Amino acid sequence: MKAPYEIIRRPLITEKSTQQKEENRQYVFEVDPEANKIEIKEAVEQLFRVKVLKVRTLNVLGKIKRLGRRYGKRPDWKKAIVTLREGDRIDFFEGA
Amino acid sequence: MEIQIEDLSSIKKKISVEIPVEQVSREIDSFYGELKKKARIKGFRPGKVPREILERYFKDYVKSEVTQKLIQETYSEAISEGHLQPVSLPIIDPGELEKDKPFHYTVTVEVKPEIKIDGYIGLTLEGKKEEVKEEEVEERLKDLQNLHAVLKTIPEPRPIQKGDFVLLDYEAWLEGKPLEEGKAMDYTVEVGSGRFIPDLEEALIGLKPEEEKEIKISFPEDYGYKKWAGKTISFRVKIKEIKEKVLPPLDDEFPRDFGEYASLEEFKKKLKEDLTKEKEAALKKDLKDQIVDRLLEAHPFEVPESLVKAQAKALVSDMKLRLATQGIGLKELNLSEEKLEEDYRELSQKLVRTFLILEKIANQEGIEVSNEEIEQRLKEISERTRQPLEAVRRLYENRKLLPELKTEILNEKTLNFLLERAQIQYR
Repeated sequence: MKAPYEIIRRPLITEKSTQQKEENRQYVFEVDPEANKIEIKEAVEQLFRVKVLKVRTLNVLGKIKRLGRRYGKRPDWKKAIVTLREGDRIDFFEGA
Repeated sequence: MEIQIEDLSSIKKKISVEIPVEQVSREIDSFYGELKKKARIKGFRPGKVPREILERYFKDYVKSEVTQKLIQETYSEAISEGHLQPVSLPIIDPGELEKDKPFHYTVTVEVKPEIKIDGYIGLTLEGKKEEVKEEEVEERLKDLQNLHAVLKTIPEPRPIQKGDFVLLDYEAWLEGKPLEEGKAMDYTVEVGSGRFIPDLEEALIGLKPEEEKEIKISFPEDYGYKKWAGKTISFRVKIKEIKEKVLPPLDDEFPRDFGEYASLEEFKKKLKEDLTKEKEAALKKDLKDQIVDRLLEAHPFEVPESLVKAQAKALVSDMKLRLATQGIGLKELNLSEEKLEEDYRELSQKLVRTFLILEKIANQEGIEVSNEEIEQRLKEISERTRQPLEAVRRLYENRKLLPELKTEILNEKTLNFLLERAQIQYR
């Protein structure tokens, strides 16, 4: 298994994720597309010293973008929505 | 807002200001409110960024901005509440700005010293009243005569004498080569004046017009012109003309050049009057200097460093301007502004001291400068410089020199006030 910091790439901070965090203690991350839910759960627990109840994942397909005549594709990535035990929280500092 | 004033010295004050929590948080909140509308952060639409996110991104920025704003808003209030008149830029030491805590900062400023001036009325001064002597008038007349002398070519050729003006061509040769910089045509030399090359002038004596001669001059090692110092240079000189200075005769015609004078006697009278006025002015100036010296001696006090520095700066820039009109830069004189400022320190200190004392006296005695007096002064300046009054006024207004002019007049008035009340013993 990969190291936790290789699995969890970055937290996703958006209007939506902020709302989810406040209402359901759900934290959103971009993760390694190869990682599975169990790996993500353990990685989050190790990195942030919290108890994870549930992990949901989805693959985000990169958009196809055009620059002039050339077509390009943004990379695909995996999003993970992690629900924490009640009372636990993660303070994001990175990316700030 | 609470303030505390601490005296560091008679001219330095430390002000501690405390701003209450409510005001601090109000400022911070309003600042974030403003920021929220404008901040663009990825993942959020403008105006929808939650406060915590903003705080994470802009904490330091907000802190410094709000600190600055709070100080700006309360500084002048603190100054007036403490009845201080700062003369220097404040040195501000801001404390840490924290949410939900009162904000502290300290300001160190220099203020005008609290001075007590007394015993300035009835100063005893010593002056020398001098009568204008006849010789002085004669001397002045002779100077004018000299000034109005004309050069005339001598009618009969004769050898050159001291005091002659010689028109000549010359060429300087060094080791068999002509020197570019040592060549001139139709150059006029006043023999014996020492204004050209003294040795060369000496050697010209006895030569006749149309005569050519080679003169060798050895320049000393410390000669002013570096290229020629310590060298022997031969000058090939060709005398073209010899001129004499002809003084105008001192008759009743002579004063015509200076104005409407009927006779030489009348002109002499006028000269005597002028001299008397000059002497009176000199005496007055001397007495005023004495007053200033006396006051300075009697009232030692600390002078705000910032004022001294500003004064020194003003003196230096004045000097630079004067030099610039002659086309000389500071660098050519091996001077730097810093060094000059250092040299002017003592003088500046004296000036500042004088100014503070006079200001205080003016204050105590209720001496003031009215607008009419300023107007009067402007008129005088416009007459002296032959500029229209409007132009002078505009110049002073544009350069913000009017306050300066006002202090100048105030100082003069105060000095005159003191002079009138002084006891003068004439020797």
